[in-house]
Amino acid sequence: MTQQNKPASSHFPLYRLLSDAPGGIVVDLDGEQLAAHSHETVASLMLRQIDPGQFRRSAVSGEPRAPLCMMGVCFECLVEIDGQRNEQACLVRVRSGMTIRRQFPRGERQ
Amino acid sequence: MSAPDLLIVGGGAAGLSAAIIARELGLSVELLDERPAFGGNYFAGAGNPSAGRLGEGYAQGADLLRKANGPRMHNGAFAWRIEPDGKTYFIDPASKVGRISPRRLLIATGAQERPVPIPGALLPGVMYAGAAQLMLKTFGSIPAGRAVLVGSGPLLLLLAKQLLGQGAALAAMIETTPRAGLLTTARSLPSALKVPALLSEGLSFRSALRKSSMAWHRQASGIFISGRDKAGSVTFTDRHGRRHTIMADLILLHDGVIPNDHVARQLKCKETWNPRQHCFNTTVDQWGETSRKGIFAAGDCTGIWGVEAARRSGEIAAIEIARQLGFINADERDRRAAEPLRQRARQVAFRPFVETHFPPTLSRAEFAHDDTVICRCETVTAGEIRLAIRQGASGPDQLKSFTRCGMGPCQGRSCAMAVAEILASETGQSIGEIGRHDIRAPLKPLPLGQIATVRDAVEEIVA
Repeated sequence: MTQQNKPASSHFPLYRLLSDAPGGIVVDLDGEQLAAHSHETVASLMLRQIDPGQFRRSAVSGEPRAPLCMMGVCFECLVEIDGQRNEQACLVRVRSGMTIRRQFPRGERQ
Repeated sequence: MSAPDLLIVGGGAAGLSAAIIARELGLSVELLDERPAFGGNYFAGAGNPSAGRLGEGYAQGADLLRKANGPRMHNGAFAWRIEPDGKTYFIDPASKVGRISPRRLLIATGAQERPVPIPGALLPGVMYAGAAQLMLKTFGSIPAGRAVLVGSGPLLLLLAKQLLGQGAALAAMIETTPRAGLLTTARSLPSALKVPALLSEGLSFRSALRKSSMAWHRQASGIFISGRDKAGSVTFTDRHGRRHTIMADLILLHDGVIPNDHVARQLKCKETWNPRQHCFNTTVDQWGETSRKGIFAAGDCTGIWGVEAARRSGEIAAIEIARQLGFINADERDRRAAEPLRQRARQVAFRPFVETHFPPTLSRAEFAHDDTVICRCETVTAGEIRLAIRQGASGPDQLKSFTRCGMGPCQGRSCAMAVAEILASETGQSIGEIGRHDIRAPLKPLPLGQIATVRDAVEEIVA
């Protein structure tokens, strides 16, 4: 058994933007104001802003889950958007003033 | 309620090509696409100003999007119930239910990743390669930390080349593609040589990867992913039998793509098992008409034929629909369809080469350990499915009621193929005979309140 790399860093988002242009849209993610770009979806914004382990927990198993397919198929990216639960974050584009709440079983928060 | 000549479900390569031709021939066209922008998977983000950085083939997408642009092209609109006569219920971005009664319907819902049920695949930080490609094409984003690519298929090689080109840190490529036998290559090469551009494109991926510093393991097996609250490493056996563990923040899985065919299945269109593609293909005639008269299907939702074939299939379907509706006569149809039919035949001839070289590997659920999760939504393991089969569940619908496998929000999009594979290996039946569970409307979970906003729609559905 060979160990090729040092341990991966423990806490940071999975993706980063290639350009450093600031986003012009402001959304609310669990009380935090985030700047987003007009063409991105809720899922793409969250993937470059939060740790993937903090995305959501499965209502069935309680285990952490995060976006898998980004094409509307897997339903692993479910979030509450403007009060509507279980929205597919990968299919909804960000809008100014949008309120996004991560979903955890039994109201538990991370 | 609108009543266009043609309603197209899906705004990717096939759907957009069909819309352009149908409008040219004088048809009124309406199109529904669930995503916030058109282009499907292949041409995702092609309308963005930065699209040019991904090359010329991709830039054609901008042209396709521009030509297809027009009235009654709906983004963020999801078709959730379709009647055999084509009448379609959809939900728009404002969560309102709408109805369309077209004279003809074209299903163009494209492909999805072939689901990969391996140990650890449920962990955050595990995504499909297609997801990373959409992050790049649509949102100009690349992996922030170390990424590892795992699996098999042309898309995996293309993605590695694209991500390296954008400066992403790829820790390794762990390829599960089996070593190609000389005989199988010899058999499929002559037809592949008819499309030299595709062959040389594939060779260019490999040469770009060889020049990079990324570790490249071939013919890997025994793959699992480890981590506590998210993925931290991937372990595998290399072709010399040595075990390796590679640390990574993002693990990108790929084992080819399969048709995204829930619309055709909800309509109970006839389908056949394609053993070479290892997936079901919606049965269509040369024009794209399904076993239901007036319902057409085009592009990868009918079988994996690639983006060029999808564009031609969309055009061919639009031409025949125009003939059926009296906009052109049969001679005119044959004249217009000759070139796209010829071009599609060349593309289709290339597929056996790809199918032979990239058979499913990681996704094969019949080899899954008993504790590997098959149904992500309801967390049902391979062992629970095997137990239910031994207790008498004889088909996918029974397994669904025994185990809840396929009953979650994704409605079996992630587990249907795996269930069929496990059933086949446990019972000795063929996957073609076993089939998949029934698909019923709504095609995605909808809040009841949204359906109830259209009172007469509820009465129609209940009646």
